[in-house]
Amino acid sequence: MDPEMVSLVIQIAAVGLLVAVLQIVLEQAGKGEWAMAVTVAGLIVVMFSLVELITSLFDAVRTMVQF
Amino acid sequence: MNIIQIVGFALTCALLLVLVRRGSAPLGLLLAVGASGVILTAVVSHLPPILDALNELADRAGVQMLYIRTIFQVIAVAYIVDIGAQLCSDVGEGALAKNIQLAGKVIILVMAVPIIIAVADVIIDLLEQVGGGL
Repeated sequence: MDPEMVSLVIQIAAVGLLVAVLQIVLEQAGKGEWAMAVTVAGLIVVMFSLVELITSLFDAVRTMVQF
Repeated sequence: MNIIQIVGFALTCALLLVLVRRGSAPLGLLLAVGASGVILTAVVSHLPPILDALNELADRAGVQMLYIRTIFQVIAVAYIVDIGAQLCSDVGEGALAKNIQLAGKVIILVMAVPIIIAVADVIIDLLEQVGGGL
């Protein structure tokens, strides 16, 4: 297992937990619309970091089965 | 095979997933996608020797390369479809999962057409030979 990829996944989990905490804090402060924005921002950040991983996986599969 | 590593990673991810899903479901889905991506990449790197062995066996048995390649592709499509559908149904999108499975079935059928035609050819040849012999 590639340690770089593993740390990427752990980072995703960290972002998820951070977003969850921020969401709760913002909701408590009565700023529901900002909570939504934080969720979307976290989602986009994570998506961009995931694209690389998925691309490398699909490339590996593609070269293996000669698509 | 570092199977203990993989299982430990999967369990850690499951633990984190339970935590993250409670906060926000979409990020949980992304985490699941990332975790399965890492595990799949780790597994895929072990596959080439097996594929080489199967290729050599097929070569020795005189099976055409096209058929073996198609079979590998079908297996890959089946696994990718299965994991995608499972990820979709895990976040409660059962309809989307069924659609993915349907798409996978159609694509596998399309890829298998040359093999089906080859089998039909063999059967027709056989029938003609038997008919000629009688």
